[in-house]
Amino acid sequence: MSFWRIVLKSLWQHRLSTALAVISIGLGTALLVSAVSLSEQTHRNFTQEGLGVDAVLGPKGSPLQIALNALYHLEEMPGKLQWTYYQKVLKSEVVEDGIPFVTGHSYAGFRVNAIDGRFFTEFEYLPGRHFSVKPEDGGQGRLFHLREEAVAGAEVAKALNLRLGMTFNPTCGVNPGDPVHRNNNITFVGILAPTGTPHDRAICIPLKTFCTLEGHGADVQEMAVNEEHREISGAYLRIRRIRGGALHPGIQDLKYNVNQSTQAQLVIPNEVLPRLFGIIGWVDTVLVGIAALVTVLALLFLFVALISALRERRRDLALLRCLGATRRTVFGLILCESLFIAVAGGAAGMLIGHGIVAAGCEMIRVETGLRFSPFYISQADVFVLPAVAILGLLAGLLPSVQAYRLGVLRNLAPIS
Amino acid sequence: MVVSIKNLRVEYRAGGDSFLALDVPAWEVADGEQVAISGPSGSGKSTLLNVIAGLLPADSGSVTVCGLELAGLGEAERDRFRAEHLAYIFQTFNLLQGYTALENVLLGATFSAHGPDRSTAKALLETVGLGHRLHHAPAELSIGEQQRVAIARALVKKPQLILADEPTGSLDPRHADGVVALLRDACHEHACALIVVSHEAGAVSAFERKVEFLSLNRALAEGGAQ
Repeated sequence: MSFWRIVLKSLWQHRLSTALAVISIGLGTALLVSAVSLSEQTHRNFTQEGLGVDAVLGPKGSPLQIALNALYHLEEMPGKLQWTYYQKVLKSEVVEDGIPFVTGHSYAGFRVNAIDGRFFTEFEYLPGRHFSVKPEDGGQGRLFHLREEAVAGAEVAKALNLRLGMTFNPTCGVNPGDPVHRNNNITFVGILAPTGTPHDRAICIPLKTFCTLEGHGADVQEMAVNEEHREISGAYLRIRRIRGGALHPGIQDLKYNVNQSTQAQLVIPNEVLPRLFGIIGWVDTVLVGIAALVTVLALLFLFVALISALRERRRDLALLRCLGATRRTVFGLILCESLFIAVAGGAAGMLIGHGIVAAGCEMIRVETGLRFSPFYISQADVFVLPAVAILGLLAGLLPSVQAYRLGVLRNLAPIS
Repeated sequence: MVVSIKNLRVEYRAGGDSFLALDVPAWEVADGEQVAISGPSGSGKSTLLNVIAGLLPADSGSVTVCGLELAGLGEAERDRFRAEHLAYIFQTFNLLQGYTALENVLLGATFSAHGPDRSTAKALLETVGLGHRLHHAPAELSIGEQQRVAIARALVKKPQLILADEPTGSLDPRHADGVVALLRDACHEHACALIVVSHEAGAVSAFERKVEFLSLNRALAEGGAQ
């Protein structure tokens, strides 16, 4: 009968309160782990990856709105910019390449973006990763060649149960009730392999198709042939790199010059998106705060459970002392029980927390196209177990001291 | 001598008052000797056992048990002394409720230097007639069976001295005789000294050395103890 066996026996003897304490600590910890993980991954998604875009050339308006629209297919573009101005920016020595696009259409709740076909071949949605329609990658069909052809993102295809050859009429706008281009039967010729990015939730049509959609006015129709009149929503820009893969420092001059103009602005996603967290960061703080509070409350429950269990166990502990257990031994027994419950709760909480992230990440990916991983190691994963262990020891300290000070004779058979 | 007491005095203090519970000028128990102490309830018999067990410090005098002068030992040393040298059997509440009979016996040697030995524990339970109830919880055993488990637990660490405080107090006379006989035989077999205190004449009748506590504890003559 080892010391640890006595600890486990005691925990088993009070298995109901032990289980309740483990569950409550586990739930608090799970909340903490999942909140921190989702928060950090959201931050990383919006700030570190940039979705393969060094800069977005967009119209005048909110830079955040432009970044969200261009990269995440959220919001709406605040306006249009001239094709000729885009061509001028493209000639800048720091710009390596550009892919123009037009947003503002939708189908069945998904965005329909008119975009340059080089988007599929030149654009890297993640470093070194290009779009694919190859079946071995999970894609289908081919890229578009004709004006009345479209390529769907993987999520769109899945959600709408699309098959190659199916046709659709895009809505002129992104809001319910917007008019539909009824006489344009655009055919799906390709379905992109999943990328785990917001692009999975978009439908792409050729850039000039936007101009020729039935219902657009003559001025828009003319954009297809007359570059002087052509307008676009924006363009993804790839900036030249210097040694070490860093962006060419000239991007700041380019940004200054573009932003000084009256026609457009240059948005660098990695500068703009962190501002989003300046706005919504308090939500994270509140969530993590609530989770931490729940964990502390769970540990207080552990403290109360230990105190009440100690009242029931005074005779047992006195008997152990009579059998030769020292004060330190009974002190250690209670402290180890508390530590065990806290660590078990913490470990269970970490598993549950990652389970919550696993369940949530699929839902978030479907809804927003953002990639989350249940295996992401957040700061919480590093600090939560030691923190819970320390708090568990603190919760067990007073009951342990009470056990240490337990009077043996007072709690054994009455003195005759 | 396994126990040697000289000029032992123990006082109880409560609410500013104190009264003398024990006053034993001299008393000894030889190695392997079996002694029965009888006397009325409240005469200080259990107090004497608690002093010998190192659970209650003497106010004055000398108490040497198993060659160790208890007054010179710190609390942790007295805990280790109990773990190594002696075992205690109570009238009731002897066993830990969450443990089986076998585990309770193993607990008897858990805190001693040589540690618990499962085969010895099983053999002792066989000896006391509980070989078939190794994995039964105390609640599933009768009071008499619980006392027999307590006897096995007392013997498992091979102590030099066993103290038994009213070990038959909760038993009917037929079972009481059986438990006392078992205890005496086991101590004899293991060359272990035994001190039994009881207020029941029947429980002490079998012992060769019987001590009438009224004659041992001078505090009673002075109006102390209760």
